[in-house]
Amino acid sequence: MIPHLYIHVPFCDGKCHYCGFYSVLNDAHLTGLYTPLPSKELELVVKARPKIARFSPRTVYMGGGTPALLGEAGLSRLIERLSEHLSFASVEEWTVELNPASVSRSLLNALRKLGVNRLSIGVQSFNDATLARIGRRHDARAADQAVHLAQETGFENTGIDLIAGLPGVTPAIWQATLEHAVSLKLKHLSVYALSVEPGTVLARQKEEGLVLPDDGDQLSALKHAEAVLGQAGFERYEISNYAQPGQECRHNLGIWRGNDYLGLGPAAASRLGDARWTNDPDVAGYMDSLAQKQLPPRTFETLTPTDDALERVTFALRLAEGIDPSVVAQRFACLRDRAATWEERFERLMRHGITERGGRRWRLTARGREICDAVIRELL
Amino acid sequence: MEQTLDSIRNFCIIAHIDHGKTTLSDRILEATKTIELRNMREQTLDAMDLERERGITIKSHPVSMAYTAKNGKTYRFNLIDTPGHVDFTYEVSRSMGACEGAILVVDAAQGVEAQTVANTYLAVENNLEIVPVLNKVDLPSANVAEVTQQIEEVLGIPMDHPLLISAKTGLGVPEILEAVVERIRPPVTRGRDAPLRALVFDSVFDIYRGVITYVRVVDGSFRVGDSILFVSSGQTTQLREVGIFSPDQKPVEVLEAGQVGYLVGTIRDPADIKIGDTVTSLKDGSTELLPGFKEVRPMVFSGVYPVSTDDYEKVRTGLEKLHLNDSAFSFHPESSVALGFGFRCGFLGLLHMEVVQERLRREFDLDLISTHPSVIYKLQLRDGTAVDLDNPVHLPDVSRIEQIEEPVIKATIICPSECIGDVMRIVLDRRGEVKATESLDAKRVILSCLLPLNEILIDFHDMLKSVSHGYASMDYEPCGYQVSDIVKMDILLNGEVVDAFSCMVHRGKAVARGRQMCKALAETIPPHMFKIPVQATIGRTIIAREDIRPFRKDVLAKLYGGDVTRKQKLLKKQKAGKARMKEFGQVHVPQSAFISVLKGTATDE
Ligand SMILES: Nc1nc2c(ncn2[C@@H]2O[C@H](COP(=O)(O)OP(=O)(O)OP(=O)(O)O)[C@@H](O)[C@H]2O)c(=O)[nH]1
Ligand code: SF4
Ligand SMILES: [Mg+2]
Repeated sequence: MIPHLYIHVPFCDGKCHYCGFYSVLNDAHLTGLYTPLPSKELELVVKARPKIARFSPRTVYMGGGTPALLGEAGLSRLIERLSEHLSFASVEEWTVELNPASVSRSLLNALRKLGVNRLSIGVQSFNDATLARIGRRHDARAADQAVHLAQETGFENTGIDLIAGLPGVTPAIWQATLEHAVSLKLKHLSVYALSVEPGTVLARQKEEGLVLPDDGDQLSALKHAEAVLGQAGFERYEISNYAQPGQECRHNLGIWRGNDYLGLGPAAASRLGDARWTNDPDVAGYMDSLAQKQLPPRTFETLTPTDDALERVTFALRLAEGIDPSVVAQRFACLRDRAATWEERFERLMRHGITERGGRRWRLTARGREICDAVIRELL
Repeated sequence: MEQTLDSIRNFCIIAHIDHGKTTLSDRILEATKTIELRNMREQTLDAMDLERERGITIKSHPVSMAYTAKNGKTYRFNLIDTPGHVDFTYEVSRSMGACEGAILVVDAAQGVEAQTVANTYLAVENNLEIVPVLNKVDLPSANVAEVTQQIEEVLGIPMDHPLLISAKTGLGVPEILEAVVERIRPPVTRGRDAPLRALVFDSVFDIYRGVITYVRVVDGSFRVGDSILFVSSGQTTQLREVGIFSPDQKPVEVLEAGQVGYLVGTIRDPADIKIGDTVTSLKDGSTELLPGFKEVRPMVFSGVYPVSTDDYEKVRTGLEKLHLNDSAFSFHPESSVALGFGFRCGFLGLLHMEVVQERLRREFDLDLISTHPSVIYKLQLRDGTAVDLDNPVHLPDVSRIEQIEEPVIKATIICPSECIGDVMRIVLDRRGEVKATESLDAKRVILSCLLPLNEILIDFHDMLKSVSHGYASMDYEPCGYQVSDIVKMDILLNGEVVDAFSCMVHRGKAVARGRQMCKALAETIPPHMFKIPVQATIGRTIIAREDIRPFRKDVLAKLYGGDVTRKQKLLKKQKAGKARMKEFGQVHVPQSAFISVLKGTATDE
């Protein structure tokens, strides 16, 4: 059974300067054509793998892009069509990503009716000049209102995204953004360090001489976020994610803990057993193929048991709960020998203040979190 | 064609590095139509890829050609192009053993340089007729009058009819060919029917034909089927092929007195052939040895290790194969705590070391690490035993050592007068002694110095070149041993000794050298997850330290479902990149770190 379902909606009403996600400019005609397609894709996937027919995911995550651009009717239609091939009956957590600019009371009500119970609002900053500088199409007030509206319409579990290390953000501005976030009584907060993705406006600006905060600046902004949010009762349960106790995003937790997931839509990725595939970031190709009842263009590969297992276990180091090598050895026979060497490696790193032990589990220290990828490399 | 002795000329081309020997050989090959023009490429005689790429000659190359002179007679020329670099001087002296004359090429823009002097002396010792030529007269910076005077005054060669040439354009080359006929004497022999005697001046190995011996026939002649004897080694064989170089090996029916050519018998192991030996016929041969050559001994030693331990056998095979054609280097297995199994190799000098290592890398596709070059120290132990030390790691406990002696060289440095102060400073700084200075002409001086060999191994030559804007040149030869205050310096990475970096230094130089090595390592070892101290120690005393700061940040900000597989692959790839580095304790050391220490970059002098 596949526990996690992701649906990608590849439309936005503009392009934020830092954004490396796949989306195209919103167009009413295109969105209309798009709504039935994830269901058609699912139908073809199921045809090739009859075992997963009518699976019932525990979590659903609709992201993008901007899912709201499908409109209330479009979203209902998309879900309705999907439920012909899967069951939403066991869904415990259903997240939709929202953009402050496209939030309305009626949309929120429609989402609630569909069964959505968690919202993730892309805020990024509560500073208007900063928002304008990075190509966002809303101001801080709109973000504020979106959060309030969500809470008013009964979305208990509402979270926002912030970006640390945006150009032009002084420590004072960052402090104000964090304080504002805390005042909103959110359940969840993602704080991502800015990264320059190839092909973005930001990448071009950097090439042209835009000065971005260096690693040291970024790390201190992240450290500050951890302190402020910690004060407010948030736990940093993953490198970039904070939650009130019990409010962690179960969808993403499932991915970090190595579960299977199915992704629908252009650019969406899936992990099923030792199979991996990622649809091409190409809406036109996606539409054409499905119109001809063919799976969309994608890259597909089958991993070796070891590579599959390593991928599923090592990213758990990003989590505060860490890794228990003996559990890994039990879960994956092919990693038994390797996991046996981890104990010693973790111990050596502990002497350098990079890892720490909690019972049988190994987790990263504050310093360890700054160099998580390097530690994971040690395990491969 | 029957060749009368009178019509044979055996000569070599000698010069300082880059003065144009190989280019001149090209022109002579063209002028004598030995190679058809359309098959001609530049630096024809530099056959090895490495020689062509670097534009240096490493091996001597003999070639035989026919030349029809102005007097209407056809002559057989046996020409040997020689290397100019000091490391390969032995190649030059061997070639001279096969010749009656030498064309001495002097770059008219550079003038007389160290190897010009050294090679001229060699030629005089070998009783060769010297034909001096001024090359590169096409260059605007050529100074014919001055260089002519230098040749007369410094080398003592009369320049009544100076030959002015450009090996590049071919200007003056016909005159050289005539001068060879007129001024170089034909070979003398006791006769073609006299007991056979030939001098072995080189050998190469061919996987199909075995050992190919290069000889100069002095008396008698060789034919296929003859049984021959190598007089001093006692080795015998029956000839399957005899031939000349034209310029590739070309079989001939008979190789006669006065000729330069090659012999192929049934010998498979180059070690069975001694360069400088005399070949004669097995029956009724001559017992009279021809004068041989001084034996060459490696002077510079370094450990050569495969990056991947699985490649050990490949390195052995590579060394064995190269050794077949270059007996001048030595090797024997050794092991290092840090580097595993490898070989201690002995070389004639740094260029020779570089060349052998580079050939191993390319021709055998090996990733190699080589340790700090070292020399042979002579140890006198308290219990009376004497030890030759070629690897610092094997130094006995200091309490057992009575004294350490280090090798010394006699160096001849030629430089412009205005930088004599700087050059002397460098020599003194390297613990050297200037024995004499003499002016070469109005603008240049010649310094005779004594220097410890280990002091010129690292960037000495570069320093000389830089203070003299490229005009200083140096030649040297070994000159015994001297007692010296030499200590072993260790390098610690993250608190652990890395034996591969241990080296012997003079006590007075240890701190500077230690700092330099720590700095070079700190600059080339990439940052790790944690701070890595790099320390230099003598015994227990730390004499220098640098820290490699850890990297600040290495973490993907956002890991969502779409990214997991791609990211994992990336991490794996990065990990594989690291695997190509050597791991000491927890420190990954790239090959470039070994090179930077070797080169002595990051000087803080
Ligand atoms: N302008 C000019 N350049 C020349 C002339 N002869 C040689 N050269 C250049 O000088 C450089 C060295 O020439 P080589 O023939 O390789 O010198 P070499 O003496 O054989 O050098 P080694 O074998 O390394 O000792 C090359 O770049 C040649 O092209 C000349 O007559 N005129
Ligand atoms: S709205 Fe979201 S998906 Fe669209 S461009 Fe901006 S950051 Fe990217
Ligand atoms: Mg040459």
